[in-house]
Amino acid sequence: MINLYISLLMAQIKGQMSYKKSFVLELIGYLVVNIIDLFVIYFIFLKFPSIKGWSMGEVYYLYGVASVSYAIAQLFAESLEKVPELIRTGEFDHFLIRPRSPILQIMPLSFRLNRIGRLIQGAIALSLAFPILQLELNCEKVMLFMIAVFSAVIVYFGLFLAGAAFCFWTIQSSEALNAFTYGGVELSKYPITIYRPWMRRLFLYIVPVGFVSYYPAIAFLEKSDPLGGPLWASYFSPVIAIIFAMVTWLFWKLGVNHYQSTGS
Amino acid sequence: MFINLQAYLTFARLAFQRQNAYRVANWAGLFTNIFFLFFRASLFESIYPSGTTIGGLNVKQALSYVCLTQAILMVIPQWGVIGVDEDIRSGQIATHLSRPINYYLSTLSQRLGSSAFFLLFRTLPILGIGAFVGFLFLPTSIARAALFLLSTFLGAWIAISIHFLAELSAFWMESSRGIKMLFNGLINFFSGMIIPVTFFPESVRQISRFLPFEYTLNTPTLLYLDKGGNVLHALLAQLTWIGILWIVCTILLSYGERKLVVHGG
Repeated sequence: MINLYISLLMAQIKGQMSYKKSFVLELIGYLVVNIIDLFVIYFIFLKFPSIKGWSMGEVYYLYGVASVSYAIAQLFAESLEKVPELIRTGEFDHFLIRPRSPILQIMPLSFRLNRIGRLIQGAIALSLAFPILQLELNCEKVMLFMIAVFSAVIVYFGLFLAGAAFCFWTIQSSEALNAFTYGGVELSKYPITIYRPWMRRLFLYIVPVGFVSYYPAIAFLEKSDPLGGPLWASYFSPVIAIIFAMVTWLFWKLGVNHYQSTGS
Repeated sequence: MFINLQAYLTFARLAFQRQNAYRVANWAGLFTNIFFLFFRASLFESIYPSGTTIGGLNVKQALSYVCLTQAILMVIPQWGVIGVDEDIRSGQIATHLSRPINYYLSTLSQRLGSSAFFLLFRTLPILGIGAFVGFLFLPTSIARAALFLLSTFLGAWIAISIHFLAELSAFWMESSRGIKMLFNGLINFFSGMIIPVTFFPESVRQISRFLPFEYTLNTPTLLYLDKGGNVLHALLAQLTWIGILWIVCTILLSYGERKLVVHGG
């Protein structure tokens, strides 16, 4: 199964690399777009002392983890945004009659290597954060970092899946879901304490993007939590993430069962 | 050119109606816009130490700024597809160029037609909600509101021309996606969509003054807030950029036209 996925992926990458000039330009374009965000944070801290008690280094850390995780999820799961188009054209049928999971078949479909631009940007954010913070890296820190990235990737993956699943009912891609996907990334760039209580609750407990970015970060940065969250919350993040992804997967299953071909 | 005004108005009206056909999509988009209004406002609410004025804006003005920019970001396209690159790739552009109608102006009026739709169905509701939750203070006079509208129209014209220019790159490369992404990023940043241009360090602000981007979104917004300096200067700057971009678009279009080879069949 994985072999199939990898060979489909390689075919995609080869295809994109054959247009070298376009590929390089897209990579640069995407990188610049993202680097701009890092300047924005710097500009904010030139004018303002802190963001709700978070220093520039701390915000760069938070931002870096969010970016790296989103980039990884986007690289592998972005194709799921194609599902509404596949449903409309009736192409989705092809994926159903083949004896492999439709998710695995769709995932490499529009794998866009230039998304690495975001990964690079996230890495830059982190490399800005560490010298400013002057933290001592130990085993626990490395683990917290891994937990943070892993959990966030899983949650974003779940969001892509949920977005695709919705289309079985709405047929068209729903821009409303952008509020949760792009909104989720946007939210996890800054400490969740800056948001209103209703937004906090939504992104801590229902779409846990906030949960998996905030708690591991405060543990990593050794900050006290004004929300008074439990200490184990950071280590619990992967569990929350997996539960969320499972729910979205069940939702997807439900969608596939509900699916009736467009026919013609 | 002005003989064809009727035709351009028809283009705009048809684009308006096309937007109107996707009502559900519009509701979904509005929902997302409002969500992001709260995201963006939260940041400004939390960073302002009480009673301070930063970059010429106090917290109330900064929140109004967020609300206004969020309300007009679909009217003054920050990203998006004008359709020029698609026309070039598919060869359709040959048909368009052979018509007795200016391609730049017809494309422009189509996108302006969509902008008119967004003005009614995105801008107004977002401003309404912004005023209701206390982000937005109402315009100090009817003249201010009219000025804001006029400047928004000019800003939309500039932004559409910038996208038009970016998409023209499809004449010279297989994919205009990279260039478009780059332009989207530049507009987003220099227009003041992410943070007001008045927050920029002085050196960056100096560069931004000589680029067209801040005249799209920032100018109408600061005019509304009465922070835009001399009104006449602001409008003149916008008109100048419209002139420059119009000329550049026309020149590049004719260069592209000469290079154009359409596979017949």
